[in-house]
Amino acid sequence: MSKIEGKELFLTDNLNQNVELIQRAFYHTEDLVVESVVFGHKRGQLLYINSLVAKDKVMDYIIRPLKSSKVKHALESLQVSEEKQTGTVHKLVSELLSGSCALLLEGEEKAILASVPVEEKRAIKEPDSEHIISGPHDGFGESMATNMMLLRKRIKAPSFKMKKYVFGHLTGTNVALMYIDEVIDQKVIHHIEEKLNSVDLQELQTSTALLEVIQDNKHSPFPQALSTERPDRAASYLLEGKAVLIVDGTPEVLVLPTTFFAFYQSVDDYTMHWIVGSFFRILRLISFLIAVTLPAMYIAIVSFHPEILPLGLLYSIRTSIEYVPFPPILEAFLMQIILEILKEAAIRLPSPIAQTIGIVGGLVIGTAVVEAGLVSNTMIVIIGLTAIASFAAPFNQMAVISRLLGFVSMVAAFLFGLFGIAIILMAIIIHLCKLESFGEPYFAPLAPLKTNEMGDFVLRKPNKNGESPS
Amino acid sequence: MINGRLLSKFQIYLMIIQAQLGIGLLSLPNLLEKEVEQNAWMPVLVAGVLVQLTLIIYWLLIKRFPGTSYHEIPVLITGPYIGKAINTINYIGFLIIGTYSMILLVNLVNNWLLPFTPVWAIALLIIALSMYLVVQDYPVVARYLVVLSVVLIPVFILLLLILFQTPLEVRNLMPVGESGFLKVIKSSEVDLFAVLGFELMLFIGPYVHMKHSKLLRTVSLSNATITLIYFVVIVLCVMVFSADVLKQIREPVLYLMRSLSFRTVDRIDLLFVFMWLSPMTASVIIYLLISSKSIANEGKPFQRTVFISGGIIYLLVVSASYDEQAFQLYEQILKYTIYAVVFFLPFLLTLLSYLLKKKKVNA
Amino acid sequence: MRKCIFLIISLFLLAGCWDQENLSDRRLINGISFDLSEEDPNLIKGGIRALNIQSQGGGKIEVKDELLTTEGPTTDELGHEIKNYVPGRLDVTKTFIIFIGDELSKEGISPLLESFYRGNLGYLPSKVVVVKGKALEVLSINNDESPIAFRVLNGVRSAEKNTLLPKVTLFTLWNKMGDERMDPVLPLVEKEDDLPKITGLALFDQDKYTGKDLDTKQATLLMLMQDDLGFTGDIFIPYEKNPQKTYRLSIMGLERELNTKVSKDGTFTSTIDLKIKTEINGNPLRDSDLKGLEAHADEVITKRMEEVITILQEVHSDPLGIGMEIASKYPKEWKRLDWEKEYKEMKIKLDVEVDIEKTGGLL
Repeated sequence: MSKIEGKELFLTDNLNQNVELIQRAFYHTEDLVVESVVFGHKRGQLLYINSLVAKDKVMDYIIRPLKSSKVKHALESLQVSEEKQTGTVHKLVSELLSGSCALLLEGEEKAILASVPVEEKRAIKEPDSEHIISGPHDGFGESMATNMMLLRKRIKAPSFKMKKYVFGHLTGTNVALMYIDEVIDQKVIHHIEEKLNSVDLQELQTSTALLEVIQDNKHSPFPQALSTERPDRAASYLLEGKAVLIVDGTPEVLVLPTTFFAFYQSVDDYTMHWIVGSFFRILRLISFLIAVTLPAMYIAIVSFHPEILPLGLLYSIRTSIEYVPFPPILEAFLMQIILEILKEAAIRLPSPIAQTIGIVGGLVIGTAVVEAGLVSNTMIVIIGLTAIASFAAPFNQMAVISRLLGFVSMVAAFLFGLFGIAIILMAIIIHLCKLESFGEPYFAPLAPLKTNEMGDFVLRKPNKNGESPS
Repeated sequence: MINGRLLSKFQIYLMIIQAQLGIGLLSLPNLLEKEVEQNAWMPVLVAGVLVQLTLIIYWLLIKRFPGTSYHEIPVLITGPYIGKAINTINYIGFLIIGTYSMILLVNLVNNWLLPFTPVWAIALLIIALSMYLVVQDYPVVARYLVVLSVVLIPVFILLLLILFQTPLEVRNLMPVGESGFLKVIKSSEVDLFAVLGFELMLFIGPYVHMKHSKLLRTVSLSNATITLIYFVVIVLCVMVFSADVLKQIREPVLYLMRSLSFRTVDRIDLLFVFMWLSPMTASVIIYLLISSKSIANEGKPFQRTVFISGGIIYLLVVSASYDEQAFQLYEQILKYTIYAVVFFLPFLLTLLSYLLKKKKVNA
Repeated sequence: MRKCIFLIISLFLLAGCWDQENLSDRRLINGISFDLSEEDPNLIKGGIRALNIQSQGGGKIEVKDELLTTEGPTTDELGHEIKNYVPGRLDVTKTFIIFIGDELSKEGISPLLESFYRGNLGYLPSKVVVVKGKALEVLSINNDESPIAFRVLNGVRSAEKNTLLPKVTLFTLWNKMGDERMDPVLPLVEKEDDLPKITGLALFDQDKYTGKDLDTKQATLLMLMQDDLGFTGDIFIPYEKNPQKTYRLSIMGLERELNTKVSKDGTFTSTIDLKIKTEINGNPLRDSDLKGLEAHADEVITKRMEEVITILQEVHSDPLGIGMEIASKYPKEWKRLDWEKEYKEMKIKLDVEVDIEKTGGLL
């Protein structure tokens, strides 16, 4: 912007020249308002971007005090909390873009900046993607300040600190890195800061974009940071010694480093009795396994080792696939893809229509496909189970990945039967073992084995006095 | 001390167990029955003691060179030239053992799961997987082996099921001690080859930081566990099968499962092979790791060595499967290789290090 | 690197699925029969029952239980021959029952069954049944409700529960067939009024049918002597005063001890101590003298068991495992023993004690 000419520009003591300079920096945009004000005996110009400032605030706290002021110094008469002076065009421009007013006075080389941003925000409400039964029902919003407020209200430790970054040459997005200094491992925070310092982006719009740039392994399908819209979840990870990245403009907050098993824990676990919580955790992990292996197992058994099935089951499967013209892999792919399309279609539509789609897709197509002899009954059951199991994951990221891995293992099962599935499962485990999220092992506490952390991993650890709850 | 690299006691315990478990167990009852009939369980105990002695020798050796990998020790003791020669012998030796266990694995898959799939395809998958893991170096391999221990749980359940579902004939174990002491000792060699994998301990140096006595206790405990598992399996096999039948079956443990049938699942042997594939692949992984470790340390040269060694193993396996003579050649070489690499060289090095009073001075 | 992975994947996708087979191409065999051929005594006549599932369009399916027969010298050749009759591959992985004709079983059943053990597909928990007469006659019975194989299978299973037949599968048979220290027994089935009927036990000497049978009542007694109680078991004892009528004793528990001793002159004596705990479940004459009933039952059971033992000794069939007892206790004597002769002459003593512990709902 101000560096267009390649060098730093400074304000001069000529008022008109200064205004011209700034207008040029903004490419003569028409929503840059230039208002003349008279302060004392000096002529002045007030500059702001029309859509970014609150008009009534400009009137109440800047123009009116200036007019009635008797003090010599302009700075003292302004009634806003955040005010500063600057002499460079670059700084001036960036402040104007973040919702400040600039007051240029005749004969002065510095502009006075007053922050009067317009504050438009959504009410705090529960995120749609992460519903829980019991527990707090607030959620992050688009505004970084609100999000920080939600976290600060939960953690009142003075060591809870924040570092600010600005990324994106075009978007200039604010990013906050927050962590509790006395809990977090210094090596981890060092690693994260190193990664953040190396970021060089043209634009930054979502937290996922930031994650893709800073994560250790760029080709891994597994998400290396947990993105959540729930402040309670973020706070509990902060207390465990994780850091949180808030990107202005996105309600998804990144928790890093994270582990595989964190994706299968829910806030619900902690609001219920620990036996119930543990039960559901085990259920979710089993559902991951089902989502990855069930259709593959079916394919391997039907087309390689049908002798594994007991007699009754074998005969019923045998009769159900009798008139299906496709090999089981094609059946499975067909059904999985129909399912994914239905899901995609239902997301975009308003909810009453989405329900109709669900009924039409699920019931009508499901029955018709079987009656037309395209897909066997058993396959419908298998795919249905797989889909339900994959949706049981508390995070959508993991749900999608488990289904994708399901496709991979289906192909392996089609080529090599049980052997193929074993190879794919081993490969997934090896990948998880070697994967690191910001320097911390991803598959912990199983690999590397940390017996002292096993208490809160598959089972939900009951709370005790004198210990941290999570 | 790099984070996550040091191994805890429990990790070492599980890791050595996984290293020792493997393909050997499946055919062991048959081999032992051929030698000593109903006393097949005795050589297991003898071999357990022998392995224990070997572990103590290993321990004596790495105790003198804390924090050092096995491939540096010969150089420290005998100087760069002889040291390098010893390392090369180790490399070739471990490569041969790895190749042999992979041949067995591929044959097993071919016999039980995929009779018509060509060997090159099966071997390619296994070796690709092994290389993918081994290039990550020792700590990640250790992590993986520990995770694999999960497989042991269903295996234990299966063994329990057999215990209660199959008619056991205790009289098959008698008369005790008829075959003679010497024969038992001699046949313990067979079992010794089945529990190989504990050589992994030689390379543990840079990744442990604990009291030496603790390390010895941990590896002894895993050796005891393995001996117990093998003992139970052998005794089960001898009790279930009659001597005549046991001498015919190549993989008695799998036939043990094959006789079971339940309302919900049949042919548990296939599921067992499916689960047992991971410990069996683990032995290929371990030999690929330690052979590469024998000549290269860490980083890029290590990764290059892994890829080259993996390629060599793959070619050897494929060539052996198409040529029966090559396979028999392996069987002959194997015995001497194992004695040289697993027992003789470490013994020699230990002896030399004490005689020449060479040890690592802690910086 | 990525090109390499792409290459491998496409290679597999193009060449792959060597072992893949469509389930609907498999013809599931549910029963097999073996007989001596009428024309040529060197040939075997084999019959199979295979399920033929046919789609009739519109989602309707017709299931037929087809019968196919052919002749050949060995099991494998029979299998090879029979393939010519049907499309698709014949699948023995779910063959639940094997019928063998009595004439053929006298020649030895081990060669017939060998290929079930060797192959990877044989179903080891399946049942083997000897048929009095032609096995094919039983297999060819057409039954409207369910395939004949399942009817016999269910009959055998419930008989096992009621202690009428021992639990014999292809697997347990294998272990006993080849073991000279013990002999197997197999269920005996007969065709009666166009229905299969279990008539007792066929006694075997190794893998050869001796031609002698036990009826179902004797079978129960044999099983008691073997310490092999099913789920329930009944014995009917005639009253002392009125031998036309019987009272029913249900067996609740069993304690058996088999002791074998060698005397100085080298002859063996076995004693079987039996303690049978029973519940009197039918007492039509309402005899209230329980002690008397017990004593009488002792006597009757002992007498009947002695008859069973006489038959066993006569045909040299040793399902009790007395040979195994001697071999495990006195290995030296066993080696120089002529077991064939010795078993026929040795003394087997019985000591039976019946306890009536419960009397049902009535006193």
